[in-house]
Amino acid sequence: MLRYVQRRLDGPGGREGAEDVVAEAMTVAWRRVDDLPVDPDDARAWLFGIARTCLLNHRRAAGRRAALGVRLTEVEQVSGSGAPHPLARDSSADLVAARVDLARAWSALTEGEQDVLALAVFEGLDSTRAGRVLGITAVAYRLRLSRARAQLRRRLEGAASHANATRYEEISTC
Amino acid sequence: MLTSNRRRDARLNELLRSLDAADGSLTDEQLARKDTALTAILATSPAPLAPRGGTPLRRPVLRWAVPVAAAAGLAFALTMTGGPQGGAPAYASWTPQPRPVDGDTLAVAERACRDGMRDSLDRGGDVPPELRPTLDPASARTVVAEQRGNFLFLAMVAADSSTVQCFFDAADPATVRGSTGALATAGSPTPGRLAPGQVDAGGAGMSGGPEGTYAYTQGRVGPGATGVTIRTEGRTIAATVSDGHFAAWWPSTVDAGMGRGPALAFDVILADGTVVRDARNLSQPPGSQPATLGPRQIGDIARGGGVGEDGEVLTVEGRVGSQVTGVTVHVGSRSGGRTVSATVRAGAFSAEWPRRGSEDLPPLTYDVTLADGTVLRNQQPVGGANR
Repeated sequence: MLRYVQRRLDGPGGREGAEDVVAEAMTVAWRRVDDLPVDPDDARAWLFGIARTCLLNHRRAAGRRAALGVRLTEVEQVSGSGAPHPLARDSSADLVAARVDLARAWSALTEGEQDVLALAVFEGLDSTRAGRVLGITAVAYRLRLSRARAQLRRRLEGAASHANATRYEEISTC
Repeated sequence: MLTSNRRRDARLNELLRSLDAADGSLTDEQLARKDTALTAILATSPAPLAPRGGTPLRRPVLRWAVPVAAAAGLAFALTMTGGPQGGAPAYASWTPQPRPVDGDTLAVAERACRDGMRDSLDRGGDVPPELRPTLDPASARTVVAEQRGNFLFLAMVAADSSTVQCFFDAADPATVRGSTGALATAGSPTPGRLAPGQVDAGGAGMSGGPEGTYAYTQGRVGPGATGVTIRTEGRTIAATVSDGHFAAWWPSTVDAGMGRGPALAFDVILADGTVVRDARNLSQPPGSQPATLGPRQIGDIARGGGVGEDGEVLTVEGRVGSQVTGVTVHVGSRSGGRTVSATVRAGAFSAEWPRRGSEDLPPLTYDVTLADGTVLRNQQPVGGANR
């Protein structure tokens, strides 16, 4: 659950904030323990749903919109000099470039699209359970996932045409 | 096209996972914080607080909450509740005027009450000497016994000035249905002398009985008193007075889980018929009026600690404004300490967490959640001691 929250909590103090959110979510879960699904995967989705509500509360308090963006690790650093980013250690330059492009494309998605994609990619939930986290049906989730994937592909295609210029810019500014 | 998209999506999934911003594994510090948070969460009730069926949800629980001032020698407040139960109308048979309890019934009830004390003390766990109750159950004597409707209430005082109350179904005086008390420790002060017209009573205690929450008070009254009237929760209750002691119980609408009982006012009736309204209560010095709270504020913070079933705990409780629906207590530093979600009900909040090492008064900060979901961070409480 910490990982789920960490991906969706940004800004200063995000690290400690994530633990606070998890503690809140677990407290809520404990209070509602009678509702805990027996199936472990259902239980995960149930817990993520609670964590999501807690996260949204946090973000509302910070005046943010009621959507959960999902951040990726910082990849811009991989193009710079100095200490190599951990991701760059065993990667070819192309792979690093692909990650930079992907991170860019990801950041161009809406928060809702990121949230939908992350439930499948990072949390590994199937459509039924991911839909449960978001409070929508499995069919509606599949539709949103398909749109989000298409959007990500489109953003990547856009990025590819500017790839060289983009990378040059990064290197020059680091 | 579809297949190529799928292949591409799979590749993107893999790449995305390599960019996961979440921690791969927990650090030792994170694991320690996780364990602490989990322990704190599991130490709280899993909130099936609503009545469900006619049987107690759990065994009677020994829970001592000691005011922080206890370091200076105040007594424990002991609550052994029978747990919430429901169904029946709450103490419909209750009467504002008490009836005496006959000798045979009293003897049975006293024995059960003393047995309950021994049992609870045995389950008290490992307590540091300065917090160890000095109560000897054998020394406890009944100072007040009263019946209101279908229930008996026994107020006892032990040699060390500990007070213990037991609650019974009148039809079964051998079974304690609610047990509470204030247990003295080695540092507890000797009760002071009272002038005529004065009382010495702590706040109202709360417990769960067979028909729901009941409140009670037990105290001493100055010489020459023939009666004590208690005004609380819109009721006027005639206490049972006996040899300088008085006590009464009543059905309470205040939630029992909050530890903090309803406000009390005492009128003392003297032998010549004089009524001393709002008698001075030595346990509540003048000026200890509750703070005025704004709708988004918390206040009247009282911190404490004690020993529960699972070992030592520290506690905090207070009142909340009308818009406050949640209070999160940060114990110690906000980054490295614990986070405890308080229980908020009926205008009050309370939280407890396991005591670690020798900490007594770790710094606390409060986040307040409002009814509209807004979270106000780092709120400064209003009033109260030992914030």
